[in-house]
Order: sequence, then structure tokens, then C-alpha cells
Amino acid sequence: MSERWDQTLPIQAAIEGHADALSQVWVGVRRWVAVILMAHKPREADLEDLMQLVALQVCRKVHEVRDPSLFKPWLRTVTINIAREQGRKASRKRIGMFRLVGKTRYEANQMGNMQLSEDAKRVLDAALSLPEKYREPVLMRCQQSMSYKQIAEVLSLPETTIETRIARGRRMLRETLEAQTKQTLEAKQTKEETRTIRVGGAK
Amino acid sequence: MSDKPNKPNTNEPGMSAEHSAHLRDLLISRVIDGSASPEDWSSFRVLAANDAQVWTDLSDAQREHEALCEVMNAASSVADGVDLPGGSGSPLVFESRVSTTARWGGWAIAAVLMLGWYTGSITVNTNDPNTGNTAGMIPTGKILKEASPEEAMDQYMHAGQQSGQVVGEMPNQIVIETRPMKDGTIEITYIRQIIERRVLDQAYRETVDEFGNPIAVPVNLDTLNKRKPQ
Repeated sequence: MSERWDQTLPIQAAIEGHADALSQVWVGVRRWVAVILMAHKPREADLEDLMQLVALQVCRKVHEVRDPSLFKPWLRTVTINIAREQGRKASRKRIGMFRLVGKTRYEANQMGNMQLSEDAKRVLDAALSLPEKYREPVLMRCQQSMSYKQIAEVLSLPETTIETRIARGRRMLRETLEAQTKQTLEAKQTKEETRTIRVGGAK
Repeated sequence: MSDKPNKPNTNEPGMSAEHSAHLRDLLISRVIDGSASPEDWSSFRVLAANDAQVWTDLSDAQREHEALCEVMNAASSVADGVDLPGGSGSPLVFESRVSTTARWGGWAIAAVLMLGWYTGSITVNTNDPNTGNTAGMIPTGKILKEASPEEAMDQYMHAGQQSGQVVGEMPNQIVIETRPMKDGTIEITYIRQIIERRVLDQAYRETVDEFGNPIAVPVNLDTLNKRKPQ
């Protein structure tokens, strides 16, 4: 089954309760659900856990969607709500628990981790600091199968607005990273100057 | 992109600085997306002839886009591993879940109580004959391979408590799903929570990365040792 965005997803059949249709719809939308979660979840919340919660909510509530054209905006709202609510819960839980795990578990987790480059982590942090209306379309555009038109459909906005937000969001991201780099360089320079003064004083 | 709604032309005289910056952003964005038209490229060349900084901005924006694509590819891999509960090949389970969740949801609380009574696991003291627990009552000499799940569980609890590895079982089970069956019975899927204790020579604190994946960080034992030893 194609993982790409598909305009011909059997949304009506899914709403009517056909399991195979709903599975097909889920496969067609789950990647952009992941992007929306990434854009809205707290850093410490588990992406896979949240994906499963969204999947469960889709199963339980899809029959409440009145019209197939409302499905994507509905799913986006469901996803954002889960990201925020469950994210807060996960955050509280993790902060409240000081977990000690055995070495075997540690090794297993290390193997299962997704590895991101330092550059990707740095850019992601900066992207997550963007205002919400820019963050979401910028991240969605990085999901290769989504065009401006498709992003506009999910966000219920005109295509021109999406293009403008992506362009502006990219500029803001660039400026944020430039400012961070500048700050880091300045901090490094100050540190070196301080060290030089100390060494000079010691003499 | 064939029919662009926004038509950037940075060469227009009298254009405001804000508008010019907006069109500059659009051009860079389209080049990154690979959707720039010949007109866009012409505008970009004109822009670059007057402002060499645009090349640096384009390069930075491209690199940042690639970095975010890396993140989203990783997120897509996670997404691809998540199917609907019940699986696509099990329409009976799925339909049952959708249509009966609300109707049978109320059974969850009752089911917890029933399970607690049925399994006799409300208490952790398995040696008390009054609790109804069967720990220690497994026929001696019965090997684990032949034991039923309940007998094997009791063996585990009993042996674990004797060795000190098992502290006990939480009194409440977590009900995941309650489902009526065609023959009038009820199927309950639930989690039993066993508390174990271990002594480790090295501990790790669990934290998370950008995706919420657990990452283990070694705990400084000196910090732990400052606490009163148990």
C-alpha cells in the first residue's frame, strides 16, 4: 500500500465503519499526523505513544465526523489535543519519577534509538521555537509527499497563505540560528578573554 | 509549481523594503522546494546581482531544510510502525471496538473488582491462607513447563518473594479493553502490575531525546551515596 498522501482515500467508507477503509486512510495520513505531533508535542513526550493514542482515537471517534471533507481538519484537531494533553501528562510523570534502570535495558534502548545528527537536533530545536502558525507548515513541507496544496487542505488555509508562511518561517528559522551562532561565538570569545586575563594575572 | 499564487518580482521600482524582503523569502523558498519557474530564476539572478548575501541565505536555508527533512524522515519511520489497534486484518475486533466502546466502557470498573476477586491478588501476602491465594500450594515436583499460567505465576510470585526479588503485586489491574463475545461471555484485556526489587552495581537515569525516545544517562554514584543508605 502506498505511503504517499492520497486524495482518493476512502474516507467516507472509513466513517461508515469499514475497517479496511479506515486502515487504508490511516496509512495515508499517519505521516502527517507524526509531523503535527512533532510540531506540538513537548520535547519529552514519546512520539510513538502519541501516535498510538491518535490511532485509538481515530478508531473510537471517526464515526462522529459528519462529512469526509471535514476529516483532515478533524484529525488535525484530535492530534493537536492529544499532543498537548498527553504531552503534559507525560511531562509530569517523567518529572515526578527518578527512574533507575538496569544495564540490559540501557543497552537495549541505545540500540533502538533513532540517531539524529547534531545539526538536525539544533535546527529542530530552533524550528520548535517558531510561532505555531509558521512551525507547522515549515515542518510539513519537509514531509516529502506534501505539497503546498495538501498542507493548505490540512490546515484549512489558502495555498497562498501557506506559501507565505513557509517562506517567512524559513527566514525566521535562519535568523534564529544565526543569532544562536552569534551568541555561541560571543560566549566563546568572552570565555577566552577571561582565561587570557587570568593567565596574565597569574604571571 | 505551475500556477503560483504569489508572483515575486523584486525588480519593480518603488517597492517597499518589507515587500521586497517578502518576495526575497518567497524566491529562496521556491528554489529550496525545487518549484521555481523560469521567471522566478530570472528574478533571483537580478536579486543576486544586487545583493550577494542572497547566496549565503539560500545556502543556509537549504542546509536547514535538509536537516529538518532528516528529522521528519525519522518521524515518518516511527509513524510507519504504528497501525490501528486491532490490526487491519481483524475487522471483527475493530468493529467491536468502535461500536461497543461507549456501551461497554462502564464494565471496566466492575471488571477490575471482579479480576481482583477472581485472581485473589488484592493482597501481596501470598502466605496467608485466608486470602485465597494459591502460592505455595502448587503440587510439589510439578515443573514450570507443565504448569498452567496461573500456577506458573504463583510459582514466580512465591519464589520471587522468598528471594526478595518480588515485592508484591499492585492490587488494581489496568483494564485495556472489555469486549462482549458472541457466546455471551466477556473478554477482558488487562495489565497486572508486579513490583520487583533489584540491586544494581551501576544505575542509569532515563531521559529522552527529541522524539521522546528513552536515553540512559549514567547516574553519579557519589550523588546517590550522599543519601542515607538503606
